[in-house]
Amino acid sequence: MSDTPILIQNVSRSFYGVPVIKDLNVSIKAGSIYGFLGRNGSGKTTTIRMLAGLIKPDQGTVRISGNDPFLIGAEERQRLGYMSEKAVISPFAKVRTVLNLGRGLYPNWNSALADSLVAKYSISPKRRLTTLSQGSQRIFSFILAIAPRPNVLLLDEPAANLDVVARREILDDILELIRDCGCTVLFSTHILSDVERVADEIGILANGTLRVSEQLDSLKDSIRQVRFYGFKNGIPTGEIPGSYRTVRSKDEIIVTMRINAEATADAIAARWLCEQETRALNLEDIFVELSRN
Amino acid sequence: MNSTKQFWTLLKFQSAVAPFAWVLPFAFCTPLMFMSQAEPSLNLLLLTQNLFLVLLLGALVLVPEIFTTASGNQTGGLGAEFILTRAVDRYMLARAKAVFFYIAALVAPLAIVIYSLRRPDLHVSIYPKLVQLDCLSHVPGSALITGNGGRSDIVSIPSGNVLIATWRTWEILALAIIVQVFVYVIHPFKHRRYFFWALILIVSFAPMLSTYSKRGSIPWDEHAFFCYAANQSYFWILAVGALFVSQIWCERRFGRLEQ
Repeated sequence: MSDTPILIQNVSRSFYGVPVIKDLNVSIKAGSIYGFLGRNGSGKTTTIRMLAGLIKPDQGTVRISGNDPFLIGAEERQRLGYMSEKAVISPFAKVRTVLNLGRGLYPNWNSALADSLVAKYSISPKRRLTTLSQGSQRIFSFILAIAPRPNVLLLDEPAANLDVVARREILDDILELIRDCGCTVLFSTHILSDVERVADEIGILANGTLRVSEQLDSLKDSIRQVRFYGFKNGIPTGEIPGSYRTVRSKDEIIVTMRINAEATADAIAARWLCEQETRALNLEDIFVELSRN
Repeated sequence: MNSTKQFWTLLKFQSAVAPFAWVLPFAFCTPLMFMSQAEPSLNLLLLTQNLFLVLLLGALVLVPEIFTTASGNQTGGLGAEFILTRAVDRYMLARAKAVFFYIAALVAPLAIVIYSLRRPDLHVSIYPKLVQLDCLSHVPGSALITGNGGRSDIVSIPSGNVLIATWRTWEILALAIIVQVFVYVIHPFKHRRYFFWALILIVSFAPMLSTYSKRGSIPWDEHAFFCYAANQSYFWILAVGALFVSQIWCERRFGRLEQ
């Protein structure tokens, strides 16, 4: 298995002249869980659809286990699980019909796992998909994605429309899957508590550009909000190295920035002849700060 | 994975998720009504107002996402997104869809062919002399006969009912080939839905154009039928050849289409 089963290099994609993804670079290590965050329309689904081989990038390279996902055939697809953002299975299909399809297409289909999850979430095999609740449809899509025991799992908003209990259970199932087969997971979500619960690494996408991509703990440790105030020589102008967002008012500057050896809040305050106050941010604050236009 | 198994699995799945496809055969059974009439009019027998159903069926089975916007985004419950992200070969999926489409489109006309064997010969009313002459010169074995009440517009066509039923089957096969190619051609376009509805309108109203043929000329649909009667083997060789070529092209095209 490849060291980086999910690889996106210099990828751009637009729809009818409107850029959606701009020069995106992501590499995800084998066996890790990558949380993909971003506002609505930030390009998460487009990225995942490129990884699933549904659309092609205009520029750049997308690879799943070393292969172009748009060109892979049945053999390689057996190792790729995908759950779409919406219920995209025909509404006329019955649960049993779709499970039979899985059995027919995947030699490694884990019937015991699929049947046990269908029973666990009280999904009747006799029912048509259209008669299931939206939450049950999401769960069923999730079951279909994991039953073949894939090496790479792409989940687009897996927890949308789910109640808290079902969400927790699905996240537990993801973790169990990782434990069992070392599967690499990329999942997009708006629910930050889910990311904190399961993700090793996160990426925040804003306006088609990846703002950060790193370990969750490292991100929380390195990004701070700093308030500079009490300027002796007036408000300075110019960019602050490592800053993501800067708000200037009459007598203060609030900067969301990455603190590192070159750009410490103290060093900047000394240069600007002012006071500073540093505040740690939780993931939600970081997400909001980095995603704002 | 075994390609044959994959094909049959996909074909079974297609038929299970597209039950609407089986409505079409009922719609095509209307010509049976005319077959039971004595001495019906030829233009009534050839009039086909339900050909647009082949288009609808083609789009719904082959590329249902054509009815959604081509923004490259989600296609609701219609699109091929789900099946394309399973362990399938794209060309095999295109083949399974095509086979299902042709079966669904041709099952009714073929049933009508079988039904026509019960009473193969046809006595049909052809009033204009020019059309009568065209018929007599093209259709093998056709002859003018005296009809009920001494009518002089009746033409006897040996195996005429079978001929009309196979002509209808040929028409539907030809249209199905056109539809398959057309939907794959327009698939990437932003306004593909409008192109598709334009074709539906054209196909729906085309049969009516025959009623506006110039005085003293032969309606095009009747002339086409007479040509078919005279050159059946060529028509079928052409259709089957086109079917194979278009299928190969469509499988390749489907492999390159984005969802």
